[in-house]
Order: sequence, then C-alpha cells, then structure tokens
Amino acid sequence: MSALLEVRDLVVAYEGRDGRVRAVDGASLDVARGETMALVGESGSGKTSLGRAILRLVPAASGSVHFDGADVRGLAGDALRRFRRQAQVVFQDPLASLDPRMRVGDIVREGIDIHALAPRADANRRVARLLEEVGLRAEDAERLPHEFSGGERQRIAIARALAVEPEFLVLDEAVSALDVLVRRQVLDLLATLQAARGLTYLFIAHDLAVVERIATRVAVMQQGRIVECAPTAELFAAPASGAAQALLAAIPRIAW
Amino acid sequence: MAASTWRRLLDDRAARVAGGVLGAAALAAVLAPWIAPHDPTLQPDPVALRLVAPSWQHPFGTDPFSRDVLSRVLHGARVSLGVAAGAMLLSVTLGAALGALAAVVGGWVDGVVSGLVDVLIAMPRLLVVIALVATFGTLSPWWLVALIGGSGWLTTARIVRAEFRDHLQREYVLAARALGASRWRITWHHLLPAVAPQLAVAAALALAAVIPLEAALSFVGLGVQPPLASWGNILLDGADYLTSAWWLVLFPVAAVSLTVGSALILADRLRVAIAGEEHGE
Amino acid sequence: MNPALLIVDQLQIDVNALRGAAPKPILRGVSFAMQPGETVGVLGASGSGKTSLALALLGLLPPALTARGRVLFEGHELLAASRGARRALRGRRLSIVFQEPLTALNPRMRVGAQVAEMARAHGERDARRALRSAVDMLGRAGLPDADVRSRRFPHELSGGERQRVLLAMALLLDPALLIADEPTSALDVTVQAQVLQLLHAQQRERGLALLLVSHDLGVIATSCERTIVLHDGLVVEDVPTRQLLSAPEHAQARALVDAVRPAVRSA
Repeated sequence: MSALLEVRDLVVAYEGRDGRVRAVDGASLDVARGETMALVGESGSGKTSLGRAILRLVPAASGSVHFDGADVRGLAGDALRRFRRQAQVVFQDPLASLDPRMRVGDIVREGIDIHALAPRADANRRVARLLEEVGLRAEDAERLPHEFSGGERQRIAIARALAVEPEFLVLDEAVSALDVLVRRQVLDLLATLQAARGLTYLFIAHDLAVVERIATRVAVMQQGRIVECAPTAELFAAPASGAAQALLAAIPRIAW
Repeated sequence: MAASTWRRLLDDRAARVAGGVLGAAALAAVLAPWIAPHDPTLQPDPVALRLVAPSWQHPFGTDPFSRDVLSRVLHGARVSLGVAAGAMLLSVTLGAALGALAAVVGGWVDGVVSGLVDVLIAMPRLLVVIALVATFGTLSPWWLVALIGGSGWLTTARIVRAEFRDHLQREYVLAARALGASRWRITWHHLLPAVAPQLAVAAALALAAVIPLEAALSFVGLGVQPPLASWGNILLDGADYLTSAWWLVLFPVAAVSLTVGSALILADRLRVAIAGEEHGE
Repeated sequence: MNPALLIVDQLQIDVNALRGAAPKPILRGVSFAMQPGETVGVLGASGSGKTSLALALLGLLPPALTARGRVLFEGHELLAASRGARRALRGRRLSIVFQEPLTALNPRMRVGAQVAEMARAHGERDARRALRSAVDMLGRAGLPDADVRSRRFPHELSGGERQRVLLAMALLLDPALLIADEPTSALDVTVQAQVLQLLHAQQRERGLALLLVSHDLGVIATSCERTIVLHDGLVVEDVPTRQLLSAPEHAQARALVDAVRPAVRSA
C-alpha cells in the first residue's frame, strides 16, 4: 500500500481572543490508498481543522501535506484545480452544507460545471445517475434541499462530492447528526461507494462507536496532535493512549 | 427558500397595500403626461386663476402662478420618484458591490472600504449633499441622482459585508470552495442570492430616505429647478401661503408621506418575512 | 391502585390544516402511564413524533400543532389547563431539558442569574437567596467552580457545561418529572457519558421520574427501566428495556436495537 496522503508536523493556528490558538499543533498522519482512516477525538481536539487544512480550506501555518506525491500547500493554478477534483468533502450538517436556494440538480452539477466535465445535456444525465447511485431518484433534481430528510440531504452532499470523480473524501462528522437508523444506511452507502469507486476516506468522528464497523485504522487526536494510530480491532482491544481509553469508555455500555 | 420569503410577503395584507400604493404612485408618475388634466407649466391666467381652492376644474387647486396643482403633483411624481428610484438603485448597487468586494477580497480592500464607511457614516447626509449642491450650483436631476445615490450606499455596504462574511464561513460555501469554485462564482451563485432579501429591505429603506431628501433639497431651492415640478418645489411655491392656501401644502406633503410610509411598511414587512423564513424550517 | 404520576391517554397531535389541506397527524393516539420515580425511555427514529410528544406534555407545542386526548399529571388535566395553570406546574413539578443547550439559554444573561430566575419566577422574593440556591444547584449539577462560572455567559461555557446549566435549571425546584429530549445528542461522547451519569445520579438521589427521549437505544438503555418505542405516531412497544434488548417484537424496534448492537468481529 502506498500512502495517498502524507501529513507531516502540520500546524493550523487561529487568532483567538487570547492570542494565537493552535487548533492543530504538529499533527502527522498517513492515509493509504483505498483505506478508511478514522480520525477521532473530543470536540476542540483539532480534527475538523486538520481535515480542512488537508483540503486547503483553511491555511496551515507550517508543516506539509502531500497528496498523491504533490505538495498541497504549494499548489496553484491547474494543479490546484486538479486537486479540487481529487479530494472532496462531506460535512456534518447537510442542511448547512447545501445552498438552500439552489435546486438539488444544480447543487450536484456545480462541480461538473466548474471543471467543465460535461456539456449541458450530458451533465444533467450525469446528475441523474449520481442521484440514483446515492439512493435518490433522478426527479429529485428539481426539488430544494429543505424538502428532504436529514439522511437524504446527506446523500445529496455525497452526490455533489462524487460529481467530480474524486479519489479521496474527507467525511467530517458526516453521520453524526443522523439518527441511528439513517446513520446505518448512510454508512452502508459509503461502504458500497468505496468498493465501487475505490475511494479513500478520512472519516472524522467524535464517537468511536460509529467508526468501529467501517474504519481500517483509527487515529486519535488530542490537543492538536495525533496521539495514537492503530488498526481498528487493535485499538478497540488495547487502547494505548489516555484519549483513546476515554473515548472507548464513553461508548454507552448496554448489558446485553 | 428565498421564494417562500416573497410568498410570505404577498400573503401579508399590509405589505400588499404598501406595495399597491407604491405601484400606483409609480404608475401615476409614468402616465402623468396622459392623465394630468392640464399642462403643469401652463399659467392660464395669473390673476384670475391665482390660488384657486380645490374645485371640479382644479381638484387640487391652483398655485400662485395659476398652474394646476394636481397636474404639478402628477408631473412632480415623475421627477421626485424618478430621482428617488435612480438614487436608490445607485446607492444599493454601489453598496452591494463595495460590501461584497470588501467581504470577498478581504485584506487591504476590506480595510479601505470599511474605513471609508466608518468615516462617511458619521457625516450628516443632508448637510453634505446641501454643501455639495451649493458648491456646484443648481443641478440637473441626473446630478441629483448621482449625489443622493452616491451618498447613500454606506448602510447597504455594511449589511452586505456582514452578511457575506457570515455566509463565507458556512459549510455550503466551504463545499463550493472544495469543488474549486472561484470567488466570483461563489459571490454570484451563492452569496448574492443569499442576501437578496436583505438587499430588498435596504432598497425599500433607501427609497424611504431619498424621497424626503429630494423634497427637502427642492424645497430649499437647491434641487429640481422650476418650472420643472417636483414635490419639494411645489411646496416651495406654496411656502408663502401656508395659512391661506392649504392645498399647496397638503397634497405634496401627502404624496411624500404616502410613498415614504409605504416604503417603510414594505421594508418592515419584508424583514418580518425574512425572519419567518429563518425560524420556519 | 397505585396513583400514577403521569397518564397519557389517546394523545393525538396534528399539524394544523393549512388552506384546505387535510391536517397531518404526528401522533395518532399514544397512551402510556408513568409511576413516581420511574425511568422511561421514548425511543424513535427522526420523524416518529417523539419530540412533539415531549413538547405536548409541557404545553409547549408550536402554534402550528394541536394536541387532543388527555394528559393527566398528578391529577391535573394538562391539555385543558389554562396557560397560567400550566406555567405554574412547569419548572416546579415537571421540567424539560432540550437537545441544544445554546439555543435554550438567553445569550445575554449570566448563567447563574438564569438559574436564579427560575426560582424567582416561581415565587422566590429574595434575589440573593435565589442566586445562592442557583449557584448551589449548579455545583450539584456538576459545573466545576460553580461560584465563578455562574457569572459567565452561555457562550463562554462548553456544550457540556451549558447542558449542566439547563439541568440545574430543570432540577432547581425539585420537580416530580424530568423530561429530557435528546439531552446528549449535541454533545461529545465523553461529555455525553458524564451528563447521562449525572442525570442518573440526580434521578436516584431525588427519586424523580425521568422520561428520556432519544433515537439512540444506547443512551436509553443506560438510564431507563422501561422503553416505549414510537413509530409513525404510534406506540409499537412498551416493555422493560431488558426485554426490548433481548427480544424486540416490532420490526422498527428490531431495527433500532440492531443499530446499537456492537459489530461482531470475525477475528
């Protein structure tokens, strides 16, 4: 397995009220092609900032991000456009992440338009295919985001990300806002898409229970650093770091 | 969802009445040459027909020069509302463009625009406009549009900048950036539609602000020059006869009050409709 | 017969008809009872009507919804009660904790004062005594350094701390019934565990009845003896939680149980 993503000593800092706050404070992480790397930690541990810095949605202060061999922080012009096609994101709150004024078809088509991937008629056919691939209907293209349930909206967000045919998806708490049944369905969909398209996932979550079924490996983040990274079964069986132990202990234990 | 904001507005009786009044005023202004009973500048008999009280012949009476006040109010609407609409469009467009530029480009551009707004907003608009007009002498209506409009973009710029900055942080904009959307595309496809209702509020408020501004300028003789009629200078012509010829005051003041009031009501109801939108989901 | 604390009898909730459209049912006749001190979970997927149920019990339904049926709480008929009578019960005899602690708090009021306001709204005249009992309650609700932090504004606290403030507010007047609507869904898992523990401890210490509304059986199973499963506006199961875990009967109940069953790992 070759690493698709290599993060080294990454620092992301914000201007906070009490001076500069390091949300990500020297994080290093490798994600192999085709795997699902879970990134877990409490809120405030820096996992969302790390995900966004990897995608260059927020600037990094120092350190490096290499994607498919290319230095992401140094990308510009066509190379940056290519990276935008290769790496996509799905956010936690699908209502906030979909423009409420745009029809679903236009939302999904935006990436196709931006990268001129298909002429107009063709683009609409592609949108219809994408909607069906994520379990919606082609007719749904005409509707507005608020007409859908939370799970369906998340499917729309996934279709939008897939429209540019990426290799890599950052799933930032993508199922956290969904109820348990819908969460299961969306996780199943993500697994199916991964198998069909050979996708690589960085799956950000605060809940270890969620990642147990789908992660190949789990990276645990605390105070801006990756404090532990292990294959999922190993981490569940023998968590080494205090952070991982706390997260594991927090899973509601049901006496079956 | 913006669509339902407009629908909510249409369901609102006060908004419909206010919109109707503004629409009727605009229609009267456009149709003035055809519906005005007399030539607004014609002085048929400055002695016999001077300061005639309202009658069937002259429903709004006549002024000191024997001109028909109804015809002057209708033609005045052309000038007053025309200047107001032009100034409103100019100020809202300018405000939206500068506010958007400041928010989207950021950095020193934001610094310059925001600094400019902070400095200019402290100046009393009427005095500034009067000073400028006084400096340049009397002005054509086009210059009035430029002056009044050019001095009114500040609040709109502030609102648009604040709204844009809020929306730029939202995940749907982040998602568009992740797709590789340019700043131009994000502004045009996502941000401007998002602030459209607020822009409409700003436009209605701008209208409410510029109608009296033009009237005031014309009333003090710095605005629209006679014989061209405007609501402000009809009032000016009647200024010496306030106690004897009430119709010279009542009708132009009523025209200003009705349109300004309607614009304010429309702005208020639109705000309610937007708030309903945000709480509705 | 044991006097029940709460009797919900054929509760129906409809979305009011808009312009000729037929009213849309949210609850279609829900009945259950709770004894004093009992812990009951209401389990349902989103859209099952569980939040509307919680709001209806407090008379807090939005104007677009109408409730019919009977809700008897300590012998008072709540649906027919006047607004004043309901308000007198709310907070004092029955309280609620919501999912989103930030929107449930007044952003411009210090949290200690907000908790104290609760006491004052129910007749405490002495402002300083109200504040003292509020700070004391915040401490018992697990807010660290309660005397210092009670002077903070909601946005200066973490999500878990805000939820503790809400809990302190809900428990201040020693109610007989606490309704918790997804109290931990907006929280981190580690914080969720702490808040659940706190809820559990307070429930036992005060002997208060707890109605815990959630989509997550994991949350309910740790605190509730009995679970009611809502599906499509109807009660499809009302059984001891242990029985639900071992032998769910209704298909929807089975799905909700399966959703929290740990992954079986083939090693």
